Parts: sequence; structure tokens; C-alpha cells
Amino acid sequence: MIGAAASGLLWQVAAVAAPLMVKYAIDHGVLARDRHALLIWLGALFAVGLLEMTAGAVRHVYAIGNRSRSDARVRDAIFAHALRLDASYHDRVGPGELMSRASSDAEHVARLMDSIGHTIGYVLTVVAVAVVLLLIDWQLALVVLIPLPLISIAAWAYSRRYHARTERLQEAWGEAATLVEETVTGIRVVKGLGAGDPLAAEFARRSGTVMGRALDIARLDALFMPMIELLPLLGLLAVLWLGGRRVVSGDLSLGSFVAFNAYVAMLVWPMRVLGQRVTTLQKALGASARISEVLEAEPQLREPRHPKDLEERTPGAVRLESVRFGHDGDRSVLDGLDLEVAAGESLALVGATGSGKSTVAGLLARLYDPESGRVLIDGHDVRELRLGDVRRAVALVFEETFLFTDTVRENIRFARPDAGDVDVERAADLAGAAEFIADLPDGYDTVLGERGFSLSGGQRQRIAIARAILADPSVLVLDDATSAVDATKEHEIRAALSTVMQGRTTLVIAHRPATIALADRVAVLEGGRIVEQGTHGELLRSSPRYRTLLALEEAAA
Amino acid sequence: MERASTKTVLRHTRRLARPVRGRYAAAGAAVVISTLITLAGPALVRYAVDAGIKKHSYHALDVAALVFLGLALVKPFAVRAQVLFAASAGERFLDALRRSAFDKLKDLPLGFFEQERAGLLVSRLTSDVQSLTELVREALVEIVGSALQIVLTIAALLFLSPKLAAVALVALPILIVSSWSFHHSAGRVYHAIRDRVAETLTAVQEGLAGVRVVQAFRREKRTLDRYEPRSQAQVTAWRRASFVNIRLFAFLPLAQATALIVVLLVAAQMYRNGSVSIGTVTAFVLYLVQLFDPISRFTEWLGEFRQGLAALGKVVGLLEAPNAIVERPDAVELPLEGALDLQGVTFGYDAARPVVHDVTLSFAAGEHVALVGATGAGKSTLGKLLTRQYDPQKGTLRLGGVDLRDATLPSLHRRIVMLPQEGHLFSGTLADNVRLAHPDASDDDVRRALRTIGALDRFELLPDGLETDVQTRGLRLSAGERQLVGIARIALADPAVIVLDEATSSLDPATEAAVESALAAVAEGRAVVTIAHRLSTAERADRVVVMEHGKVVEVASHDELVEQGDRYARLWASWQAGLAAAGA
Repeated sequence: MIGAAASGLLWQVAAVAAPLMVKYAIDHGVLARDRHALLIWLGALFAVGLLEMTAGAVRHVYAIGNRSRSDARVRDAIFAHALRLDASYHDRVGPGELMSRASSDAEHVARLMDSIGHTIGYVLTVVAVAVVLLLIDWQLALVVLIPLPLISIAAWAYSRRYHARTERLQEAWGEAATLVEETVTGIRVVKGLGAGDPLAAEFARRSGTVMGRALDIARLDALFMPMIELLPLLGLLAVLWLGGRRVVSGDLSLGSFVAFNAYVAMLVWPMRVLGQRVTTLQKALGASARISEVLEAEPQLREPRHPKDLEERTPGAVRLESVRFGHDGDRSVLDGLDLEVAAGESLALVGATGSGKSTVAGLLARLYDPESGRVLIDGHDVRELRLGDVRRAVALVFEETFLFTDTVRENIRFARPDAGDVDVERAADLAGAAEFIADLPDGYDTVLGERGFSLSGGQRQRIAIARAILADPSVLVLDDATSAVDATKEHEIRAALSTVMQGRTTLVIAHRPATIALADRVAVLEGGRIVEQGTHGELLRSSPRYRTLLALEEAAA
Repeated sequence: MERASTKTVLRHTRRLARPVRGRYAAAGAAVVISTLITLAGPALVRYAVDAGIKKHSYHALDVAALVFLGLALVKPFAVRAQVLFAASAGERFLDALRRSAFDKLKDLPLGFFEQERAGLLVSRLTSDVQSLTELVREALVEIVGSALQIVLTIAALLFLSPKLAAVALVALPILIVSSWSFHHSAGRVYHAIRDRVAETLTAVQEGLAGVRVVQAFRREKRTLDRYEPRSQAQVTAWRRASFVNIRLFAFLPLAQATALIVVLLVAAQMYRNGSVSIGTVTAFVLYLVQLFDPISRFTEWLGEFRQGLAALGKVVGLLEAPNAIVERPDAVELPLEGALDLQGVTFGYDAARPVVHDVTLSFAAGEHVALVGATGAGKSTLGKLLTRQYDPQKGTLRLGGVDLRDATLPSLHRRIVMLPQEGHLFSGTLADNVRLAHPDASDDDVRRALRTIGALDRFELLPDGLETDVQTRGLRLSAGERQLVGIARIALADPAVIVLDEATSSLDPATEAAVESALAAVAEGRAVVTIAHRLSTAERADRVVVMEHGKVVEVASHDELVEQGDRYARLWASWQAGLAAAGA
């Protein structure tokens, strides 16, 4: 910042000094026919030119540097903070919206940083010129300088409106970006349904909103900019008329009149730029309001101030005590749930769609916190442990597998970056993925598409299972993790699953009886509570509800 | 995605700018007026001094001041007109550019999306377009203004002293060399910036889209570690650009000083000889000093211009991406229904390696057919050909006798639809999601579609009923419910042919039953081609088509094929064994 201001100032000084050198060269060199003096002043002019060049170059490099670094700082902060925000935030705010804030809004703030060096230079110019004018003829100077406070008043009168309208424009950009992002990620649905045209119409609407709101701001410009242009002209007019009259009446020398003119002309450009800076500032403020909205969103999950330690290889006994939880509070998903899984035990959680099974999974990995009640791992409330420790202890495999643009190997290694190739391949083998990976063009080095497009749902899930196996957690949560694996192939990985589950606390959410049967115990979730527990065999025999849930009623009857 | 050549960029620019030519012309005219007013200022001051002050004439002074006042009052209006016309032209241009980019995006083949990442495409339509704002709203108009000022000032210099004007040309080589060296590198560095921006946004998009996995495996730090070098690379790219920029305008003061020095040396000589008056020298020098002000603005806007050109090149690169599926000029409506006939259809993503080979098949109206075969047998590709995601390299597909390539795209999209495995939701309400492809559908239409598939009651139970916000990616709806939304979309579309990519996921039995009955309802009376992953589906179909290595090897009903005891019979036997092993 200091470098930017210093180089901006030097540049300004050089720019102001250059005409003076010319004046001296003419007065003392050309007019006086003094070749020696001419050469000296021309030498000085060259030196000033060099200074202006160097300072101008440094000023520019600083300005661009400030701008791009500020852009990066905002973007980095948004991304880093968004990664810390918990699942409930991301349920509400999509990637498109956040991307728009990290790029477009950040850009507005960056622009402000870009202009700081220049702006300081211009402010100093205005102040210096004002002082010189007052020294020459304070009465005339006061008349000429009247526009200055007027410009400031006009600037502040308009600035608030810039702020609000910029926020609205940026909001429209966010909505346009969201639609692009959703269309691209859902392109299969869009193409399959021929929904491209209606979506294009919707995009045209959102794009039109962006245009309309940008023009709202332009309409402010169209009021504000002419005013900024007019006021210095009025100053010049005052010099011309009042100053001219004072010269004629002998109150002002001709030289001072010329100087006055020259100096007031020097004000035109800085004042115009300063006026624009007010809008730059307000646009940046509008954008930064949207940025702060993200940065000030508090993660619902807070790290405890004095965390307890969780052993690296904690046994993994899990208990949920009177847990209440409802997304956004509109419908209660879990209603005083009690559930216990002993260390090393495996439990299958069974229930209808929407009964809250996935919520239980998310609570265990502390993706969410319960509204009331407690989630305990080996007797510790998860809220008293470090978040990192909880997530190291609990590995969660989701139904929807997200693969990153990277090799198969790195995707599996995701959970444990230090794992060796042998470990990766063993995990893949256990997850029943080794075979199809070998068939991929580059085997483990094949780069997967963004959404794992090139793999089938079942293949993606097997990679996710390999990920979890490699993580080697104390508690493994499989949330419908084998749902897309073909029923005829699932038995291939069932053996692997039972190996993995051996001696490890495991919560399995599944629908296929054979998978459920792998668990030591089954709990049935209904109405936000556990309504029945027992082994698969016991429940099959004793519970009609269980048989209905598994659609085995007829088979059992 | 290729970077577009300058010629292509200009062609698209002309096309998009055509409707706003008038506005640009008006903005240009306003700039000319306000520039002339600016230039008239010093002339009026000179008149006031020569005719007024020196001759002690209040009258001349008053006249000068009055004219000045008049011009000063005109100027705000000229500036206002310039701002309004330029903004309106520029924003309309950007709007047209965004819309054509999106129109292009929706028409690109699926293969394109498998190669390009979402973040990059978002960056093309937002960040790249946005970085053009300065160029289209200010730079173009300002360049006109500065150019006019330069030309008029040069004319004044020539008028005052052709000899000194010729001497001032000594600065020209400096200007030429610096601008050549700028333009030599500007394209490269500015394209690099756009590339780095896209890479950064791609990293952000991927990290956010996968944020749950990132958090579950506490990879926040690693995700940031991988993102940060890209973010830093963007800063570095800007830094490089700043070093290229200074080649352009940092040399201006040097050129100005050089010109002044040489002019003054020569002028001093001429003044000694008496061949020039001191008044002329002073005026000449003043104009020469003034000349560099518009030159420096001109070059600054030129820099902006290069930067915009790079961004425009990226967007045009998207517009120019090859697009296989286009509507013929003489396209006709597809008939409402009829048999779907395939004749010798051959297709490969790489034409040399066909994935679907010489397939001849006929699907009768209302018939339910299952496509069966191992992974990689070509089932999914055939599905994409049926919905014209791709055109075959050889052979034809006809619906009711009309070649799909001769059909209008809207009629094609209405008659033949595909239901993919995943049920992707857009942010918005549930009802809006159902009417995705038919935004004009009324609430009643939506309810009817949901009732048809038997899902109305289920969704009406949601907190706000059909107006419930599904929120990002529909994380609150289960996989089964998302599938139901997908099926409701089909029911609303009312197509003749449905290509169904069967979901492999197992749902809980109740939801599974709901999905199956929804599918049955929507399949009623329509031709359905199912890419079957479960042979239980094949068992229920009217006919089974078995594919192997891109060829159709068996076609008949389930029972007949099992009877035949060939490939399908073997698949069936292994499926049965698998089910037994699965214990279901």
C-alpha cells in the first residue's frame, strides 16, 4: 500500500513538474538565447520524464498487484470459510451462488484496491492546487473552489443508491451463475427431457435482469457524471469572467490569470476521477456486503474451546441420547431418539424413506448437531471433541458418491493421503472395485470425470467404499452405500463388507435383506424413534412391521 | 475448447453488435460533441485574453464568458447522452452474448460435458462476460473521443509549424516500438489470465459441489492446498500482464520528454534565426503537452481492449464448439406417434471404432422393449441415438417414417424423451421442477401429472405442498422422491417414446413400489425402451433385445429367449443365481 501510494505520488510530482521544466527552458533558454541554460533545463525535463516513466510503471505494477491480491484474498477467504460451513448451510446456498461471490463480488472489491494508489495521488493534487490558488488570489480561489464541496455533497447523495443497486445487480449475477451451474451439472436430465429451450428462456430472463439492473446503475451514472463534468467547467468560467474582469481593472496580473487558468484546468481530470472513485467505493461496499454475508455465516458446528482428546484407535462405542432434530425446524425428523451401538458391534438401521436414517448417519459424523439430546462416542459428547477427531473416528459413505477430477488412486486415497499404493489397491480389492479398475484405460491412473461420469453408479459406490476402507475408522457408517451396486454383484462385495465390519463399530443403512443380515443387530426407525430392535432373524419372526418394511410379508406369510 | 481466432471473434462481435449499432453511433456522436467542447475551452480563454483583457474590453470578455457558459451547459447533456447510450448498447451486447452462450451450451452434445468441467463453463458465462463490461461500455466510446482529440491536436501542430511538427515525430519510434512490444505479448498474457480464472473457479466449484465428502473425510485443508496454487497462479498471471502493460504506457512520458526536448532545441535555433515567433513556440509546446493526454488515455483504453478481446475470445471459443445436432432448414414436425424404426444404424464416438454396429430394429407404438447386455455392449449409446443426442454415422432412425434428422428439434424433444438414472433437481419449488421442460404448464397440469403417477398425495404432504422449495441439489428429497419428480416430468411431457435408463439403486421397498407403479402409469400406451440393469424388468417387457459388442444378437420375448437357451438364457440363469445368493 505504501509503495503504491509513494509511486503514485512521485508520478504525480513528475507529471506536475514537467510543464515547469518546459516553462524554464523557454524563459531562460529560448527567450534568453542561452544555450547552456537551455541544455540544463532540457536535461532536467528528460530526468523528469524518466522519473515519470519509472514511477508510472511501478505505480501500475503495484496497482495491479494490489488488485489481484485483494481479489485472491477475498476469493480464498470465501472458499476457505465455505469449506468450514456445515452441511445445513450448503443445503441452502449452492455452488453457483458462492462462486459468483468469490469471483464477481471479489472483483468489485479488488477494483477499489487497484485505484487506491491513483486516488491518493489525485487527492494530493487537488489539495496542492487548492493551496496554490489560495496563495495567488484567495478571493478568486474561493469562488473557483466552491464546486469542490458541491461535488462531495453530490457524491454522498448518490453513493448510497449505488450501494443498494450494486447489491441488487450482484444478486442477479448470482442467480444467473446458479442456473448455469445447475444446468451443466444436470445436463443429462436437461438433454433427456429436451428442457434446453425452456431453460434458455429462463436464463434469458435472468440475463435480462442482470442487464436491467446494470442499466439502473447506468442511470445513476447518467445523473452523477454530467454533474462532475459541469462543476469544474463552472470553476473555469469563474476564472475567465471574474478573473478577466479583475485583470482589466488591474487587481490581478495577467501572469496570475494565466496561471489560474492552467491550475484550474489541472483539476478537471482528478475531480472527474475522484467522482468515479466514489462509485467504485460504493460498488465495492455493495459487493462486500454480499461477501460478508458468507464470511459472517457462523458454522453451526463450533469447535469446543477446551476439547477433550479422543484416542487415535478409540474403541468406537456409539450412543445417541434423546436426540431431537428437524431440518430448519419445519418437520421434526428425529423425536427423542435413543440408540446404542457397542464397540465393535454392527447395527443395521431400517426404516421407510424420510424416516431420518440419513440424519442419524450425519449426526454420527457430526455433519449436523442435534437440537437437543446428545451424540456420544466412547462416552464423550461429540461436541466436546475436536471436529477433526470425530471425523477421523467416523467414516461416512454416502449414497451419492462424489468423485473428484483426479485419478482413481487419488480418489480412493482421499481419506488417507499418506496411504501407499499397496494399501490403495487392497482397499479397492476389498470393495470389489479392483476388477473394473483394471479394465479402465489407465487402471488406477485413469482420471475420473468431474461427476465420475464415466463410471456407473455401482462402480462409483465401490470406489467410495474403498475410500472408507482405506480410512480405517473406528466407526463406519454406510448410508445406502451399496444401493447402486447391482443386486447380482452385491454378494461379491458382501464378503468384503463383512471383513471390514469385523470388530468395527458399523452402522449400515440398507434395504436388501442380505445386506441387513450382515449386521449383528437391526433397529427399526419410525416416527423419529427406534421402535424395534433385535437380530434380523428375530425381527423376521416376530415383527409384521419389519416384514412389511422389507416387503417380505408375502414371503414370510 | 479451442481459443477462437481473431477473425471468428470479430465475426461474432459484428453479429451481436448489429442491433445496437445505432446506440453506439449516438454515444460516439455525444463523445464528439463533448470533446469539441473540451477543446473549445482554451480557444475561448485565448480569445478572452487577446480581445478582452489586453484591449481592456469588458464586452469581449463578457462574450467569451457567455459562450463558455453556453458550452458548459451543453456538456452535461452530451455526457449524459454518452453514458446512457453507451451503457444501453454495451449491456444489450453483453446480454446477447450471454444468451447466445447459454443457447449454445444447451445444444452441445453430452460428450462435451464429460470433458469440460462445470466450473469452467460457469466462468465462461459469468466471469468472462463480466470482464467485458468496461470494454463495451466505456473503452469503445472513449477511444473515439481520444482519437478525435489526437487528430485535432496534430492538426493544430501542423498549422502552427509544419517543421516543428516534423521534428516532433522523433517520438514516434518510441511509441511504435512500445506498442508493438505490448501487442506482441498482450494476447498471450490476457488469455492466460482468463485460463487461470477458469481454473480457479473450477477448483472452487468442485470443492463446493463435493463439500460433504470433503468435510466427512476432513479434507478441507487438502482441498485448500490444492486450490491455493491456482488462486496464486491467477495473481501471477495478473502480475505478468502488468509487466506487459507498462511497455505500452510507461514509455509515454519518455516519448513526450524526448519530443519536447528535440522541439525546443530546434525551436531555440529557429528563434535565434528569427524564423519563428515566441508566441508560436509557446502555443506549439502547449499543444504538444496536451497531445500526450489523449494519447495516454487512448493507450490505456487500448489495454482494456486487448483484455476484453481475450475474454471475448474465450466466450466465442464456446460459441464455436462443434455442435453435432442442428435443425435442418426444411425440418418437419415429427408425427404424434408411430413405430420407431432403426435401419443399419452404426455409431462410434470415434468413427473408426463403432460402439453400435449395424443395428436394425423396429419398436412398435406402445410396445415395451428391454435392452439387455453386459456393460459396454452399447445399450446406453443406443439410448442416446434414439433420443438424438448423437446422429449415427451410418443408417437412419425414423419415427412414423420421418427421419429424426429431418425433424424440428422442439417436436423431437416432445415426442421422444429420456429418463436418466439420477433425478437432478434445480433450485426452486417442487412444482417448478416438475414443469422443468414445460414452464407454461399450469398448477393443474402439474397436479394431474403427479396424480397420474400416484405421487400427488406424497408431495402434498410436504410443508408447503407442491410449492415447497427443494433447495440446492434436492438434498432434502430422497433418491426415490427425486426419481418420482423425474417421472412426473415425463408424465407432463406426454411423449410418444420414452427411453428409460433404469436406476440401479435399491430403494426401500415402499418407495421402490411407488416408483415402479409411477413408471407403469407413465408407460401406459407409450413405446418404452428400457436400458435394463435388472432382468426382472426384461421379464416384464413385451420384447427383449440382447446386445453384445455393439450388435443386436437376440430379439424376442423373454419366454422365447429363455426357451432358446442361448445368450439371454445364460444371463437369466446367472441373474437368478445372483438373486438366490442375495437372499432376496
